Amino acid sequence: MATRAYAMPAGHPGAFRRIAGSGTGRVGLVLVGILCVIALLNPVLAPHDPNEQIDIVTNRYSAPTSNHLLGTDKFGRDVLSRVLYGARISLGISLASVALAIGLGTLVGAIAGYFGGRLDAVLMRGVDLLMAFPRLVLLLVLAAVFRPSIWLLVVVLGLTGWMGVSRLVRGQVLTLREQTFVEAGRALGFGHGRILFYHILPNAVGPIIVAATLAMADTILMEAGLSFLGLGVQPPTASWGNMIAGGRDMLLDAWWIATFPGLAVVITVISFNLLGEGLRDVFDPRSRSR
Amino acid sequence: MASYLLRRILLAIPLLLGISTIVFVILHLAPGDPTALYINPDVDVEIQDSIRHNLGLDQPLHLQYVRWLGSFLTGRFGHSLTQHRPVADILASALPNTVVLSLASLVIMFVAGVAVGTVSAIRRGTFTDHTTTLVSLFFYSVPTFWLALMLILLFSELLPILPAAQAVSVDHASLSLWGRIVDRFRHLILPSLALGLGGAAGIARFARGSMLDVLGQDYIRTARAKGLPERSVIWKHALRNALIPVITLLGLYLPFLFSGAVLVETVFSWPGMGRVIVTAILQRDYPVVMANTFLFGVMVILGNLLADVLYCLVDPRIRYAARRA
Amino acid sequence: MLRICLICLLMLALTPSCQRSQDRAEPAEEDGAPEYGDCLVVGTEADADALNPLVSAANTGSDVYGQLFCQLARIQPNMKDFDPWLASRWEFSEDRKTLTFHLRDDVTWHDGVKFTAHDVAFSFDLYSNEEAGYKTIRWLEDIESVTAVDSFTVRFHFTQTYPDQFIDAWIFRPLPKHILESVPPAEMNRAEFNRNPIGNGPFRFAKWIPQQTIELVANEDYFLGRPYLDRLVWKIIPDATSLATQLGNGQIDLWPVVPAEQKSRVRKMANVNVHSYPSRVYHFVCWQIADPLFASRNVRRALTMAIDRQKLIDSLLEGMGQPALGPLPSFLWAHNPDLPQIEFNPDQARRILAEEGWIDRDGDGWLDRDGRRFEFEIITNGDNQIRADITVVVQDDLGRIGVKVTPRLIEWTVFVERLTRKKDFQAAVSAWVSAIKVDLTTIWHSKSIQDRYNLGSYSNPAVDRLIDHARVEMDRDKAAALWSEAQRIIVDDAPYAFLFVTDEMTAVDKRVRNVHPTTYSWDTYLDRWWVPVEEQRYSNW
Repeated sequence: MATRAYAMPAGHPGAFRRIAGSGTGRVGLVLVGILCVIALLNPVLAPHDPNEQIDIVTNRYSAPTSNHLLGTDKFGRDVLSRVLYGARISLGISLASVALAIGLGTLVGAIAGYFGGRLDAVLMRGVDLLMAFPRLVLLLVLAAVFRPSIWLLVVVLGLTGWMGVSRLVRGQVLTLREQTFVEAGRALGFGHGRILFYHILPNAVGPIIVAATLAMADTILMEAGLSFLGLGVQPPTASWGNMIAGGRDMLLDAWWIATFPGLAVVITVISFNLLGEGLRDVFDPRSRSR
Repeated sequence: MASYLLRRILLAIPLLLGISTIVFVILHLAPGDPTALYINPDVDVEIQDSIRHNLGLDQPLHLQYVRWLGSFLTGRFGHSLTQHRPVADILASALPNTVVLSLASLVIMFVAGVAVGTVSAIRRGTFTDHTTTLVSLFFYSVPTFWLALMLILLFSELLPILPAAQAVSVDHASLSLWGRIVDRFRHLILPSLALGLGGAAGIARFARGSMLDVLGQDYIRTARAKGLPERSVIWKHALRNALIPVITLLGLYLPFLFSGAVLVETVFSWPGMGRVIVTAILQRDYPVVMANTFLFGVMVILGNLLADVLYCLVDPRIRYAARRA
Repeated sequence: MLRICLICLLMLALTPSCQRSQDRAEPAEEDGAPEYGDCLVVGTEADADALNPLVSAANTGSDVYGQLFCQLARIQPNMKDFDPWLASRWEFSEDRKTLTFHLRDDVTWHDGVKFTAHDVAFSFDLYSNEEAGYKTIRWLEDIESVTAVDSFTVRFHFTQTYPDQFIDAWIFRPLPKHILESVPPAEMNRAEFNRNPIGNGPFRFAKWIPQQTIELVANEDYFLGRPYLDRLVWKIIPDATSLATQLGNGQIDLWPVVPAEQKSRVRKMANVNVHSYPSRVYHFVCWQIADPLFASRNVRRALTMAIDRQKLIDSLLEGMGQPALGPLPSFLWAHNPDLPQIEFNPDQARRILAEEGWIDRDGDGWLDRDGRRFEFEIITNGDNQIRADITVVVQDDLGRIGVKVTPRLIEWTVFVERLTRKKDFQAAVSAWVSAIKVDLTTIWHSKSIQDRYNLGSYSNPAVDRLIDHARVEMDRDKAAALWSEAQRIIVDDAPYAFLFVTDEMTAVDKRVRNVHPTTYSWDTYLDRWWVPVEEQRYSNW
């Protein structure tokens, strides 16, 4: 699990660096685009039904062949189809929960940054407290307390992932509220809400998008971890995490069952990381990765 | 410096109160009666009563909260529903194992991360730099549990040279002192690698940036102009200053470390708090789950405190400023 | 400098522990004379709940207490005859209403106190006391009382005569009176004794580190002679995959029951001998008859017909199993070998369901009736891989005839609760361990619905009558006829889909000699297992 360092040390932008910077972003964009296409066009792309047990007795645990490009699993199900379907599940869950997290974090951070004072102190203290728990532990406890289902997953992933965003948005709002256009707005008699949502936040959209992209990477890892432990997406629905768990018994003999979903996760997370960092270069040229 | 530390310690106390409050809230979010969740009717009546009293389960909510805080902050967590013994005992034996694993992983993260980051910075733009960046990106994005499985596949199954479960061998107690040390060490390698490599990648990227920053500073140029050997420039001057931000990073990293520890401990059957909480959750052993969650929070807070101390010791600016103040 | 450090670290990592011999000697052609020494490490996925035969309800517990506590007689591998154990001989009275055991006089408990008939009498009172919570207390209900005639003679008085009297008297393991008489029966569940037992068996209790290891040492004063092995250690590894890895690495020596998904992997291990034998366990799908969906016998038969059990055996068990033919296992004398089976026939199943009114009227692929879709939830305990896998295949099979099944995995304790006490389920996948006596009452008699173990609320007065008569019928042939008819009706009524009996697999390190696991138990005559000195691995413990 990697650190989300929202501020990187300032560097020395050379021409070559700029191109390389946006280059990684471009690679990330392409990869993410491919993933979205896969997730959306699933029924068309998948050669088989991900839950279909094709001739379980003779066909199970078969190595990659032309008929089953990534092999079959314990029940004779096509691994490729399941990995593709898992993309839909994992991306879908992550997207929904990141949306929730971003929404919640933006709200809290905006309010804290804008109104300042005691409200800010209380809210940020709360954020500190929640961030003191390892996210997976919080996820586990919440998933244990309620019955596992896909909607629950989205909610708990969202509820445990908004804190970092709130800090980021708070910082942005703090700087932006000192700008003259805010003063002007108040002079014109605009209400706080209007100023906040129509004037301030739109200027903070850039870093929020970056945060959202990086949050996707993190959330996908978290969902995979939860599903791996058996508390996330329940089998037989295919999720990369529970596929890896399912392939654990035959690591040596049927390595493809655990390896390909794992690679899928790695590639997806890399894509979002690259895209996020590329976007960061675009939105905030000061904090560029070198 | 002492006053700085004292301030940090005092700040930690409300945090401890806060995290026990959060655990309290979560318990009450659960559908069902907390009493039913917490008390096993098969246990000694005396023990049932003492749990009920300590945690205030029969009191109105605000009184219950006060009792709860008191109990949790003094380590009275109730009785495990499945193991028929005090939760505190279970966690007391699991905690050191997690600490050992975490420390070992932190060492790997720090050493490997800083080393790779420094080399990358020094050889910036070269093939080495680009390769390490790609490799770092890979390890940065890998799911910890999958990495753990791949390590087991490589070093426990394909080449059976390292153990893949638990912290010690069965006959550990009968080994000599040296034998015991080796035994523990061998069992520690794969889990700490699985846990540490991902973080090392993150640290490497950060350290690279930090190092590049430092290398561009004036005093480095001065040192080079003075004719000091490059080695000395790097080690004595640059590295020390580049390390300072990395230490703060380690503190921030702790929650992620413990998240990873839960997964790694599960894969390796490592008898630490991560494995305890997963087993407890699967068995619906709420007292253990709640106490375990609380302890994780405590460990993060304490870890941050330690990081602050370390930072204080390492950064001469703070020491100096504190002395002045 | 750095390089030297790295090399040192590497060497540290690869140095095997000094005390352990690395030899993997070839097994000797002939076994030779048994030698003393060594420790056997047994791998298990779950920790024991208690080491007291009265209280323990789980496998590891019974495996361990099986080495700590003896019974009056020792059952032979054929599961029909008995050898002397705590008792040197026994006889029935003329009217068969009493059974007298003559005990050995040289048996001591692990704390040195002599074992006497008073222990047996006391134990019976304790086991049959409702408050103590003995799980199979029903089996003692035909024993009226147990009295100690003198220090080494104990007499069982039965309320009636029936074929299995001896088994009912033999089944429980005597406990030490001098230790347990001071514990109120209602508090047996939390007694210290459960974690620190004193028995009279070949091994004595040494240490229990919860969730990690349970250690037993050889009992020097065991009345049949000290076991050859010095020590037994149960190592708790909650995960089957890790267990398999450890077995392959030599870090555990024995896996009593290898789960189906690990069998092919374990078979390939060079350092391990694999013993395969028919198991006493049969798996099934239980239909909850109290639920209107399953009230009709024809519907249950149709659902059962749609499940391809041979496919389950060939895939999940890799062929290492047999179809379960009925409620009684084949090793019991009352087993009916000609039970008509409900054969796999999905088309027929569809037809029967159609006759019952279940037809896909709205074309969505699922059968429906009165506007309701034929769908239900099938539950099982999630920590058992084979059961979880069964739900997946059953979902597929039933899906093919248009019945929508949703598998749901739940925790063991909740599962047991819902299955036994609350009967809160529609369909469940589980397994029974067959008893060695003919007993259809516990599961199939309608009076057991209240009790617990008649999970699916099955009630058929004809079956009840047959069971009640057969139980007390002393003439074997007459009894067999009654039992056969009862089994036929049960299978016909399809309260369960009887799935399969697995072939049990026990994996033992090659160095251990004289290992002969049997259907009754994997640890048959464990006190006679031994390891040649030159192959012993844990010699300096």
